[in-house]
Amino acid sequence: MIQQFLETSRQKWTRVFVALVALFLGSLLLNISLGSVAIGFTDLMSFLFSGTTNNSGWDLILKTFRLPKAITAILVGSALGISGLQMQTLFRNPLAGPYILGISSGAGLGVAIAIFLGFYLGGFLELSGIGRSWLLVVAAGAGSLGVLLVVSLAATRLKDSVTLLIIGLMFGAASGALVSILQFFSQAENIQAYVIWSFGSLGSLSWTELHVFIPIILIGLASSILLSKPLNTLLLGENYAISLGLNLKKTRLLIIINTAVLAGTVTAFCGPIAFFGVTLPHLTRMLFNTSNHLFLTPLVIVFGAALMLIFDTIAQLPGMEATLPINAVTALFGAPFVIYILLRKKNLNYSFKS
Amino acid sequence: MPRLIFYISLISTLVMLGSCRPKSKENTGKYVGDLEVKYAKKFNISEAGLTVSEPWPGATQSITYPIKNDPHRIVVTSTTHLPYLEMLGLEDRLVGFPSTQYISSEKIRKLVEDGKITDLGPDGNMNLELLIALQPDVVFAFDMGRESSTLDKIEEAGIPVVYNADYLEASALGRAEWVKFFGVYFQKEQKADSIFNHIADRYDSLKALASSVSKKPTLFSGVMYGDIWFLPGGKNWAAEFYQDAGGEYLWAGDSSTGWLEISFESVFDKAQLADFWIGTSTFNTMQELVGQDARYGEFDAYKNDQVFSYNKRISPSGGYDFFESGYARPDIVLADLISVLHPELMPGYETYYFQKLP
Repeated sequence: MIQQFLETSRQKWTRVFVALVALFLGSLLLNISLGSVAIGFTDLMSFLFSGTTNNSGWDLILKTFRLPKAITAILVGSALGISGLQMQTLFRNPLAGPYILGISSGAGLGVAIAIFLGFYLGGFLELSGIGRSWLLVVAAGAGSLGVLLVVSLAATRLKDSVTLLIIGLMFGAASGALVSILQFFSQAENIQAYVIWSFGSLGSLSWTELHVFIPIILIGLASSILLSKPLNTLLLGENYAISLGLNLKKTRLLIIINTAVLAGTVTAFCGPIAFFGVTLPHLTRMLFNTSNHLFLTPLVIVFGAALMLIFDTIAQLPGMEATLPINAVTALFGAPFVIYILLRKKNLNYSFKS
Repeated sequence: MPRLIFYISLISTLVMLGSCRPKSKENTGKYVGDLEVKYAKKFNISEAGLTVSEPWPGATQSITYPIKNDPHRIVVTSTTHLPYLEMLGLEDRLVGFPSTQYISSEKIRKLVEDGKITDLGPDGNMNLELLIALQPDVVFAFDMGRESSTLDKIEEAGIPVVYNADYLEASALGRAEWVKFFGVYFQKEQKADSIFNHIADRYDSLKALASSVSKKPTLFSGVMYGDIWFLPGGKNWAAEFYQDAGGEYLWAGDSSTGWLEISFESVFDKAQLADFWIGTSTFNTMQELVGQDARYGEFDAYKNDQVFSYNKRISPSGGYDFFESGYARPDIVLADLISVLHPELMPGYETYYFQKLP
């Protein structure tokens, strides 16, 4: 009986994963083939298989722009989805997301300080031979790391996870206030630079930055798979989990560090991409009808990558010179979709039942 | 008590008389009628005074400012107002300015250092108490869209505010012609007229010189913020210069006067082979450009070392003189651009604002 159940279940999940991987590959191809500049499909194929389109300009566009952007989109989609999933389970709160602990606020504060003091810092970096692009990455990374340190310190002392939520909120409020003070005293160009950073972007990473970005995110995603089992236990409730022998404080700390590394790295390189991380776990749970993290984690990784690729394709407005900010697109197309599925499913209770 | 009322009415009568006087003096303005506004579209000079037809973007009503008795204590709110004052020799009448650290003009910086000009705090959030305490005769301001309650407060305090719409002019000479606006206001119209005529004549002869070239080099402009490239629209102030300097701006066909926000790959596709890259925002060296984004190095203009920017004159605090005085001196900007695009036409010319990125 059980044997038979497991057998059908395995067949079902194999089909789901094959379909998802196909969706992922399709959206990857779509993402690379569409953009402001029209590059024919045959040219794209010849680029993929022989490495050149016989048009050096197009080669460069594909190699230095579209491929890095696609890789960024894949990793950002997976990373934000995973950190959203982990936070929602940890706090047993459907509204939690990657930034619930104040990670993006910390990063934003770091970036604001860097931009508004940029003239001095820029000169310093020039002397040390580091490019200016790393200025924002380092600033945002330092900001998220600072928040991470404080939150983990709190996590080792507190018994109650919800208190962490409030600490995260306080971080958001305080750094928001500091940012507005900085903005008040700075010039229009700097405010513009900050606002543009806060829109988020996937296309600003070049290969040099990807060399750092890819390994960090991959390590984060791999550890998230290892954390799936404790996450399942947490779904039962913290007290129940403890009675099952889970070391709550240690697990909580590991989850927080994992999320902070993923969301913090994404924010450092691409700016805050807010909406995606909250909605993707919901979408995945509803579409695939599971709350088992052993399945959810890989599903979120693949589905998040595919969805982010699709959103990025829309943001590029194929055939037009202009582009849309990625943040606007994810919210604009993601929100109605979630509402639609919610109305069909009628409730959210499924999420936190085991 | 009646005595107090008497004093009040006497004072107010005197004040009114005082403010009326310039109106009667307008009639003696023999010169005003002769002064013609040729290029500027946003202001006009008439017997009634100076009329600003669009004081802020989208304004439906014009404002006419009577020409007063030579104001001696003035406050301006934009660095672009400073060169007009300096050209007319009026800089010593400045008593206040917001964010003085961004001033490029050496003469005016000296006045700030000597304490003659008070810093009024951040631009857009001026310290009103400081400003009112300075008791200026007039404040020259600009308003991006009728949103500044600060300016209303200044007017409430009885200090006249003159809206300056020079930044709304679409043409380079139209913008430079605003020197006449200040000239008339300070009754130095003849000086303003001769300054402007000199600039316009030089601009026209340079433009004629550049129009003789047979080959127009292609050029593009701007840099990326995030993954979006900002470059001037085809009818933008900058685009006009590129055309007049004998260059082929690759987005000249565009019809917008503002800025274009387009993706990296569109820019790259169009501009990869362009001869020149002119105007790189706050990037002052080639190293800084590729340090920000290695893909900048793939442009031919970068590989052939043909990247120029307006960073030859930067104030100690990082203000670009180009954005301060460049608007008032289109002749120098054009001469610079011609010498960049066609050095053979300007032998021995030393550029003023522009330089090749080191």
